[in-house]
Amino acid sequence: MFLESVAVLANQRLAPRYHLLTLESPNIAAHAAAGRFVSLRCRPSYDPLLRRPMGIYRVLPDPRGRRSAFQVVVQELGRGTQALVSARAGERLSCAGPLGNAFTLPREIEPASAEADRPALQALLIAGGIGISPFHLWAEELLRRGVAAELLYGGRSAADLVCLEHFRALGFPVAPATEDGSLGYRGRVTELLERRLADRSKGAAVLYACGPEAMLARVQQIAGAAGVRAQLCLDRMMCCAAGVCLSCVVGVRDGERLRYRRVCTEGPVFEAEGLEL
Amino acid sequence: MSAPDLRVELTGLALRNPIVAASGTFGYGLEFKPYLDLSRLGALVVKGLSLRPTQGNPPPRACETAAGMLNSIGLQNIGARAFIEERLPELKRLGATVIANFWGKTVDEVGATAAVLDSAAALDALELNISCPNIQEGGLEFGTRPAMVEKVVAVARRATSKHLMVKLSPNVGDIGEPARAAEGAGADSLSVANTWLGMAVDVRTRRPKLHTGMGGLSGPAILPLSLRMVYQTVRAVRLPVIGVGGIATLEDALQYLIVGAQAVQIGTASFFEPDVTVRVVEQLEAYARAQGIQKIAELVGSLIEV
Repeated sequence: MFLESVAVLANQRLAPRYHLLTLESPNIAAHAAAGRFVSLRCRPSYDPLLRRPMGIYRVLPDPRGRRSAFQVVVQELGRGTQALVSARAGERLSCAGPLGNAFTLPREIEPASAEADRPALQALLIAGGIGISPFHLWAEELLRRGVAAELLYGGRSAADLVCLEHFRALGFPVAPATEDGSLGYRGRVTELLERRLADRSKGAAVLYACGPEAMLARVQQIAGAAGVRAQLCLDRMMCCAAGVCLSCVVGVRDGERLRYRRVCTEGPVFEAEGLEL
Repeated sequence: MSAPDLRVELTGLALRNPIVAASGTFGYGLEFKPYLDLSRLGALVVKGLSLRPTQGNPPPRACETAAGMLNSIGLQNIGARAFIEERLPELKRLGATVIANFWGKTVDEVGATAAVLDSAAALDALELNISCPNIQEGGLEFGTRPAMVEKVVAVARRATSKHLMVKLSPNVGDIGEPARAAEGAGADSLSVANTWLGMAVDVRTRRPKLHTGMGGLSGPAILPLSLRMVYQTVRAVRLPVIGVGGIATLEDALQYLIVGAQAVQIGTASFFEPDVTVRVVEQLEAYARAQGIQKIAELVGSLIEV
């Protein structure tokens, strides 16, 4: 974990209200993983007061091939993100990270067996809108490990699927879903997930999801009903991102017992089972 | 020129400088090990401890406000014994001066928790939180009635021979009343003040932004309010006062010292600048040097009134 003043190398507008910020930090880039995040001071003022957690989207190498920078996708939602999307190249932002845990592959189905005639694992990645953040790094990892996988990428409309081209460029299978039918499956991404799970000929499935909590709650339900494992990546309001303020907690039920766990330091990735969404 | 002397002494409690990390914003201290050298702080006050582990309130527990934030965490903590066994040894190994904040929902619980903490030789001091509800008095904050303050401080006083700091609630009309009550009941120092009761509403859902409806306001927004209370408290009692409320910069800390606080606590600012406490220590030393202040005590209570 590093607390640094990082330079904004680039600020690319992906779509209205969506920006891709490139931030220079060899330290953070070197320890990035799918699900891990940084905590950014939006500007040096008391308005907004608190840092904003931003998932690490991609890691970029310098000309010599060393991990030197990372990117975050910012959706303009309020005063904090408004300040972030207007950051200019050359500006510096106070940045703590990388923080939190990361997605993992279930041990029993890893690595994919070479002699099997079909992949041992089919990983389904479910992203809702800005919930795409952890999936670029995870897609790269799954490709490296030879895990058969597909990204189900949902949003209200085609304009919300701002990272679609990045996954196509990566050669990672993507199925878009839009509620208005402007691209791909017409309807919710969780409906598309149910259809995929109905066809299990492709092997065991494990789910990875990130998006609005209502979507995550539905993924949890679907995973429970289908008896498949799911890891959910949460985005909660945080004050400290250091594990001390105890404001980002989520309830985790273990039988009768309810425990509050911190999204910032015990998450943001949690096993779906028992999570109180 | 020799380095300025930043040491302060609060009724037998020696601090290497007057900058203290406030309870509830610094965890059990060890969480800040990646950000700063804990031994450079005057002291750190750990998250409020109770006799048994406490689960806290359901989320949402916090929200941002103009230059501040509201919280209603519900005093979640690992319990006094777990703190002593699992965290305190490492804190002392790192050279930290450690103050244990604690609370109880009844007078007896307060006494029992104080006794457990008193038995921990490595603890430097206790800070009693009287801003929590007293279930024997219908959930009224201990800190809002001088008679209850006197009773609860007296019980804590009997249970410990360590330095007993009492953190006052600002949610009163005249801070002098609970301050004098705590002094009379044997407090060694007063930290002034805790968070200010507040509220925020989500206009889309028309629901309070916090699960519990109301919560404690902290951050730069409250500085003038808490500073005024420190100003009033130092005129009401002889005890040393530790100023707390909205401090995020050296200038903020200086204001509290000038009105008469002998030390200050930095709270919410640690959330948005995790190393702020140590930076203010460094800036204070540089300031004292630049101003030719040999002992920081020269600054305390140096307010010029017109």
